[in-house]
Amino acid sequence: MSSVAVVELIAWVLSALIAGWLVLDMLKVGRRHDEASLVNAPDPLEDPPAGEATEVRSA
Amino acid sequence: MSATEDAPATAPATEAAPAAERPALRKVLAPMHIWALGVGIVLVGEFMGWNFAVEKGGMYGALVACWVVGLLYTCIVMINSEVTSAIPAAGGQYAQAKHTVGPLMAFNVGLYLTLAYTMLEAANANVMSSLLTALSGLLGSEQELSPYPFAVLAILALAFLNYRGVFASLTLNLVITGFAFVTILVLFVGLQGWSPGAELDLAGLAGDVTNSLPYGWIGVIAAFQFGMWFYLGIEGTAQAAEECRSAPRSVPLGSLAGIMTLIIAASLTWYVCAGTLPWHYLGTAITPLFDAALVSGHGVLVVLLLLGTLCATLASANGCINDASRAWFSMGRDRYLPEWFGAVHPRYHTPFRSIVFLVPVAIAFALLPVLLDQPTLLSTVITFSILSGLLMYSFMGPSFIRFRRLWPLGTIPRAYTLPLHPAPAIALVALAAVVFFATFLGYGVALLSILSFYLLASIWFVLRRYKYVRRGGQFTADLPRPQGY
Repeated sequence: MSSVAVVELIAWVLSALIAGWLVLDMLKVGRRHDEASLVNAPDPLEDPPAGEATEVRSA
Repeated sequence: MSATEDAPATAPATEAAPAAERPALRKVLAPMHIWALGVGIVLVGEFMGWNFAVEKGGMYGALVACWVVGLLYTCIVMINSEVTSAIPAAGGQYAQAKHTVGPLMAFNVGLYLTLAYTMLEAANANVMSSLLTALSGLLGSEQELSPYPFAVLAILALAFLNYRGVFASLTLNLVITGFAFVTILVLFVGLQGWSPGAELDLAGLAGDVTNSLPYGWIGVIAAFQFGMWFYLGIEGTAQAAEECRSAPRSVPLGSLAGIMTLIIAASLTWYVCAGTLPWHYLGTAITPLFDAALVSGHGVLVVLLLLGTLCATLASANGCINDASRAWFSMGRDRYLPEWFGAVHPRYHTPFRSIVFLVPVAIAFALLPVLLDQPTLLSTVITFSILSGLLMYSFMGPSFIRFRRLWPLGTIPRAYTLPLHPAPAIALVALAAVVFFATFLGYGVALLSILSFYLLASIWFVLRRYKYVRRGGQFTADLPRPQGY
């Protein structure tokens, strides 16, 4: 196997590892956490004072 | 860190978590990160792309384009600095449009931002793989490297870095952007730029009409579309506002320092290239600064400029991933897109789903020109990116005038106040119109195609998506609501 082929193989393997990790972690977070707690948007029906909402979202 | 970090879900799905327990984007960025984000996205344009302006308008045409378009971007940066210091939200111009104009404009701006940055990221990955191929050739390899694995690896590795945290990704950008900028300075010093007669040859530039303005003033206007390469993307600093420790301080400082850096880098780049390369060659060169180093014959300069070009490409792709994901994320959490995209990672505090979702999109745009064996497709991808940016600039002037009407001076705290209002906003609209005309001269079909695309997207939003938008929850800025809102 030529050195060029080895470098290309390493790039493909690294790409596959990173892609796998990203997808697995994303799925893991989805499974372990309540979906409503992940979304960073305050529900207008649950926000009593305006000041509290700005602590979560600065704007 | 959020109270929910790494904790398993215990509440039933129907019960929303209290606002204080929701993970939010982490506020860790300083002005230097904002500088690195803005300059990092843009600086690659100094290393390649701007020189097509020379082909259109000659040496002086490119210089006029460099400074006139620099004025356009200075207006953009100043407007951005004032609005973002008052509305420091992820999504930048998207959040501004949401508050000053309305949902349809905001949806379009969000889409412009996402597409502009994703396509630019794809183009960067594509160019980077080509540079690596050239590098392997310089190192003596007889076999040609395949561009596929390196374009894919670059996008995935940078997405991984962005996924794990904004601080690390933008600190990396600071280092590699700083290095790339220093290589331009080193080239200027290495060629003794302060002494035009030493290594540079500028003698024929002023006296020869065919060399300086070969196509007259229409050529100069045509050069404007490529003059944008010197600065395209600096407005992306607004995307990181929500992650700054102090957005009212960091965004104006980082952005204004950024545009100053770029104007210096652009002028030096033009000067060095105009003095070393003949204009016919410069107008079609792929990597003009690297070529200038090659012409100089200094081995150190050649290596430095090759590394500088690589770092600039990497920094640009990294910044684009950051900005595109923030725009997509913001639209998701406001339900302009499925709310699923509005999630924040409980451990890393990044918009992780938006980052991952845009990876295959960027890879597809990066590989299509290679897969279809159509190199011109790359320039189409870049043109779509530029046009999306241009559409956004044309909205920013009127939007800023409305912003000042809704919240006049003295009614809200401003960390930065735009001087001479409304002159910069009017100048921005006028200059954007000229650049639109210039782009129409070169890419009329692409311009009409992308306008049609955004029209169709708008129709989809109004007919199918707007019903999901929480209309009462759109005003998220920490500002007094204007009358009638």
